[in-house]
Amino acid sequence: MKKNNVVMPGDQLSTSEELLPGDGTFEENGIIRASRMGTYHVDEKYKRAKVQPLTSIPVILRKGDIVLARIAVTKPSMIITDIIHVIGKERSISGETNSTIHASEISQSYIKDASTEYKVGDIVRAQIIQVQPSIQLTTKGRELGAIKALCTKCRRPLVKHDNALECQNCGNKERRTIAPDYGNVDIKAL
Amino acid sequence: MKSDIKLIDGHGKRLDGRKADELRKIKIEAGVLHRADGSCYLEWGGNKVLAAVYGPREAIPKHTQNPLKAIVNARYNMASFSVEDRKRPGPDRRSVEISKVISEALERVILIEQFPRTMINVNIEVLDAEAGTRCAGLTAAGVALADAGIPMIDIPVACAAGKIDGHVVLDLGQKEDNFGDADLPLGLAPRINEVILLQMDGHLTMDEFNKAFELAHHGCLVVSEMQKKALLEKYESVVQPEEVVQDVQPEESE
Repeated sequence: MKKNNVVMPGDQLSTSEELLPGDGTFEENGIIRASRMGTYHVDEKYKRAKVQPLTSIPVILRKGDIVLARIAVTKPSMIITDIIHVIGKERSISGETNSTIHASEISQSYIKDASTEYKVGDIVRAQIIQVQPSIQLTTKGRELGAIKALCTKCRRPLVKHDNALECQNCGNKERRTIAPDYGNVDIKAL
Repeated sequence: MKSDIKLIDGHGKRLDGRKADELRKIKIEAGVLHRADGSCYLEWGGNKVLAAVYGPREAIPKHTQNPLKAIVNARYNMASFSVEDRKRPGPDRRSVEISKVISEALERVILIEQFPRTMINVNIEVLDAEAGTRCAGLTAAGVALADAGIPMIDIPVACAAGKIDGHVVLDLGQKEDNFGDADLPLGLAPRINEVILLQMDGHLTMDEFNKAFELAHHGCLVVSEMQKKALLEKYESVVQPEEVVQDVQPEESE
């Protein structure tokens, strides 16, 4: 491979007879071209042309990504959430952020009513299990679950007290499916 | 507008000493804004332009979303202190038009089908103006988009030509624009060699138009090289460690 193989958007990389267009490339009249600035690589295993970006690139949700989501609506069968951040990425999400957590995907144990586990306004750490046709999340994993929850009576943040959540303002006790590091996550730092 | 000013002297030299086919000094810097997804600062003669790219992100208001592609919202804005007499701040008839033509020019080069239901915001802020700001704006937007890693088929570029004192010249300056006969800004996608923006102010004969178009086209290609150089300069330091990785990679696969 050439030493200086930095390519610019529009530069010719290969032809469609030779390779498949991979990440950061597009096909035009049988020619594979770069769609972003970066270094050109060939994935020999899959015969795919790729452009490893030098710049930051738009964040696209993929299966397996760990995300932070805000609960928008709760129903007995599912929770509707809005993805606000992808862990490990700095840029905001491009595209659809509406997502759902099905009652069966909340935790390992049987959950009859999903709306008892999360409430509107909570922030959860979740994993993407499906992107198309709709975004589906799960909080079944070890590190997954609510990282911030609000009291349903006074909207103040709930504090963890030996495995139970309690509101320090009104003394209200509530239940949630929580992550092990509940309350210790600096959301602004992520 | 006719005046007594002689815009071009007997030797073919212009007011600022340039030849007919000479560009003003251009300085391009990529990635200057920390909070933007991509940005560019550009100086083109007396023009000083900042371009910032945000997105693609969920399009708001929601009814503007297109389920098949992203919408490109370019916003051209002149600072109140950018011109000789204070400009009333905010969008006016002129800047709304320029925003529209730049948006449409960018839509041609961005792979908008890859980001349905989103919008890409391109904010072009003119800090100092000296004729040819729409060209400077589009050129800066092109660099900012590449800096944001937004998939494009080409880096857009723009350059103007015009007619002063009956001579067709490249890249009009402030006085040449004000007292000249015609101005022809040209936006180009240099690789596919496609015109993405073309406007004309004043009158040109068919021959003059062809000559001006040729000049502007040539100017675009020159500026295009500067854009690429600016982008490479910004990311040159990042390339070095990448190369080390590449040297290792082929061995691993063997």
